[in-house]
Amino acid sequence: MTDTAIRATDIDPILADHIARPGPLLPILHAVQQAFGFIPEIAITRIAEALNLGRAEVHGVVSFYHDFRSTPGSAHVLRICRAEACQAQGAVALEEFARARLDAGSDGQAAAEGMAVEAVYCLGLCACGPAVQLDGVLHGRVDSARLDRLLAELGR
Amino acid sequence: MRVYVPGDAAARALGADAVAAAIAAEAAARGETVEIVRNGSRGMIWLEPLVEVETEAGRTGFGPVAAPDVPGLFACDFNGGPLALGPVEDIPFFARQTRLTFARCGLIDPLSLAEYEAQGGLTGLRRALTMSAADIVTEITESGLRGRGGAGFPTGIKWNTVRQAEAAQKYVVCNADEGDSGNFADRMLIEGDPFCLIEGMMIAGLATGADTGFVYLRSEYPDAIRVLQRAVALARDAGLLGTDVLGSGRAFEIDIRIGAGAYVCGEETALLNSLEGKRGVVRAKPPLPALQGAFGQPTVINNVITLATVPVILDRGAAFYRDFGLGRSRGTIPVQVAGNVKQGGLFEIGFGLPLGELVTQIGGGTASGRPVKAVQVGGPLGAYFAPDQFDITLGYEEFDGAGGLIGHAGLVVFDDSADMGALARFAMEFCAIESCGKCTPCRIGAQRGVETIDRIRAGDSAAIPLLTDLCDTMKNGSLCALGGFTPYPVLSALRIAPEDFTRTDEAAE
Amino acid sequence: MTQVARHPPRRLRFILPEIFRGSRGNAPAGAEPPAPLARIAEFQI
Repeated sequence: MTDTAIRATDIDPILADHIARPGPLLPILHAVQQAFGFIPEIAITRIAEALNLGRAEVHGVVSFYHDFRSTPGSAHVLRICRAEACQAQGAVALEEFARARLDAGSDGQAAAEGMAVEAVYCLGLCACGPAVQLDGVLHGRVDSARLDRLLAELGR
Repeated sequence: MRVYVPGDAAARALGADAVAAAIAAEAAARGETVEIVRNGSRGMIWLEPLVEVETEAGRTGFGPVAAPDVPGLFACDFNGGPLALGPVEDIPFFARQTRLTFARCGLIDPLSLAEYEAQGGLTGLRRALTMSAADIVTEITESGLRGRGGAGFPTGIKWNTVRQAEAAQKYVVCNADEGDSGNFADRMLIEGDPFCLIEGMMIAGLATGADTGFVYLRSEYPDAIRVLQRAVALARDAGLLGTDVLGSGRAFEIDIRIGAGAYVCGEETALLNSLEGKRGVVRAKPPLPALQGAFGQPTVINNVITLATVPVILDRGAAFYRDFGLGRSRGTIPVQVAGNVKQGGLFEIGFGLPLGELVTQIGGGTASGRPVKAVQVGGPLGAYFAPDQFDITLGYEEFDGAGGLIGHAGLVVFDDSADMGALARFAMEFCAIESCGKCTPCRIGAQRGVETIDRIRAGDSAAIPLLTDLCDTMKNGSLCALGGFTPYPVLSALRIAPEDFTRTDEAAE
Repeated sequence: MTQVARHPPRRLRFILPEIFRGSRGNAPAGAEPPAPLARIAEFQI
C-alpha cells in the first residue's frame, strides 16, 4: 500500500482500540506499523489530532525509536546481531558475508530488490551466536554456509 | 509418553520446532501416542534443542537433537543412543546450581497454571494476601534482595518508599527491556515461567498499594511477548488477575507494553517516558520513580528477575533466601555464560563464585579451544576482565571494587583472536547510536570517542590521554549508565590489550 | 540495560577543547592545539 492510498479514516479503528489506555501512543504506532508496514505521514496528523499532541511531538517519537519507519519496508528483512556476544562468535565476518552475498551497501539496501540487511543489537540468543532474524524467524549458531542455505531457500 | 521439546527462543532458533514436528510425525507413523510439551529451556543452551522424556527414573534428556535424529530416538525407545544425556537434573552443569528463581523454568509447561501451582506456584501470593503491606515489605527487606537490574538497590527499601507515598494511584512496572548483549535471563524466565513474574508483580502490588502493573517488554523478543500475553490472559480467565484476586477482594491488572528498539529505554526513567508515549529520554533524578514514576504517580520499577524472585521469598521466608550468597550480596543470581564458550547457558547460583570458575569450569572455556583473552561482565556497559582478574568473586561490591559492574550477570567470553581496540571502538559506537541525546557527555562524547579511538588506531598515541580524559568526563558527567558506564569497556580494553589500539598496520586499510 | 547505583552527576565539565572542537567547527586550520587536558570550565553542583 502506498502512502497516498491510505486515508485518515483508515487510522480511526486503530485509535479507537487504544486511545483509552494510559500512554497510548506507542501501542498506536505499533498497530499502525503492523497494519500498513510503516507509519505514513497522514497517520501522524491523525494521531496528533486525536491525542491532542503537536505533529512535531508525534514525529519526534516516531523518529526516536529504531523500530518505526516512515517509508514502506522491504519484502524481506535480514537482521544480523552485531552485539558483543555474537561478535565473539564471528558476527562481524557473517555480516560481511551477508552484505557481499546480497550485494548490500552499509545502508542496508540490497541491490537485489526487496531484501534489506539491518543491524540489530541483541536478540537474546547470546549463548548460541551468531544470531540472525530472517523475516521474523530467529536462527542461532549461524555460519556463512547456514546463512547461504537460508537465503537460497528464499530464492536469493 | 510425555516428551518435552523446549519452546524457548534459543531452542527454536536451533531447530526445536522442526524437532517437535518430526516427533509428532514419527509417533503418528508408528501409531504411538505421544504428548509433546513445549517447556521452557533448562538453560543448557549448548545442548539445545534438549529433548526430554518422562521415565520412571525421572526425566532423561537427549541433545542437541536435530529433526533427522528423531527416528533414531524412537528406534531405541528413547533409551540410550549417541545423544543420550541421562537424567537431566544430574548433568553437572545443572546439578551444581541452586535454582530458586528459575526453579520451574524448563520443568513445566509455561502456560499451565495447574502445573505452576503443582510446583509451588502461588503459595507466596496466598501468604502475601494474609499479610499487611508493611509485613510483606519487611519480609523482602530482611531477605536482602537487591535489584537484579544492575544497580543492586535494596528492593525492600524501594518498596517501602512507594508504600508510604500517598497517592490515589500507584503502579508496579516491570523492566523487561533486557537489551544487554550476553544477557538473556529475563527472556528465558518470561518464556519458561511467566506466571512467576505475574505472581511477583502481584505481591509487589499488595506490598505497595498498587493495583496496576505494566510490563515493558522489548520488541526483539517475539516469543517472550507471545508467551507473556497468553499467560496474562490465562491468569485473567482463572481469576488470578482482575478485580478479585483469588477471591480476596483485592484488584490487580497487568498491561503489557512493547518497546520499539531503543536500548536506552532499559534505563528506568527513559522506560517510564516511553511507557507514557514519549521519546525514551532519560529523566534526571530526583524525583525518584518511587515517588513520581509512571504518569507522575508513585511507582515500583523492578527488573524481571527481581520480581520473579519475590514469590520464592514469600513462600520460603526471608531467612531461607538470605542464607545464600556472600557479604552484602544475598541470595542467588542467574549467571548467563555466553559468547565464545563451550557450555553456554544460564547458571543460577548463590553469590560468591569466582569469575574464573564460571568461565573455565562451568562454561568449559572457549568454544574455539583457544585461550581466553577477556570476559565482558554485565552487558555492553560492563568492563572487560582478563584471566589475571579471574579470582574476583561474583557480588555487587566485589565487581564495583574491581572497576566493573555485575549488571544482569551476563558473561561474554572472547578468545585470543578478539581485537580489544575494535571492541572499545564498538562500545563508543554503540553509545553514540543508542544515546537518548539528553546529556552532552554521552551524546557528543561517544561520537568523539569513536573518532579518538580511530586516531589512536591510526598511530596517534598522543590521543590516548585524550581518550582517558574523555572517559572521565563521560563517567562523571552523564545522567545515566549509558554514557556513564561506556568508559568501562573502553578503558578496561585499553588496560588489557594496549597493543590492540596501536596496530598501525591495520590503520593503513 | 543496566541501571546505575550512584547519585546524579555532581560534577559537570563543559567542553574539552580539543575533543569538542570538531563539533563547534570553529578551530582555525593548522592552529596549535590547546593543552589537551585544559578545560574551559569545571563546575561543582
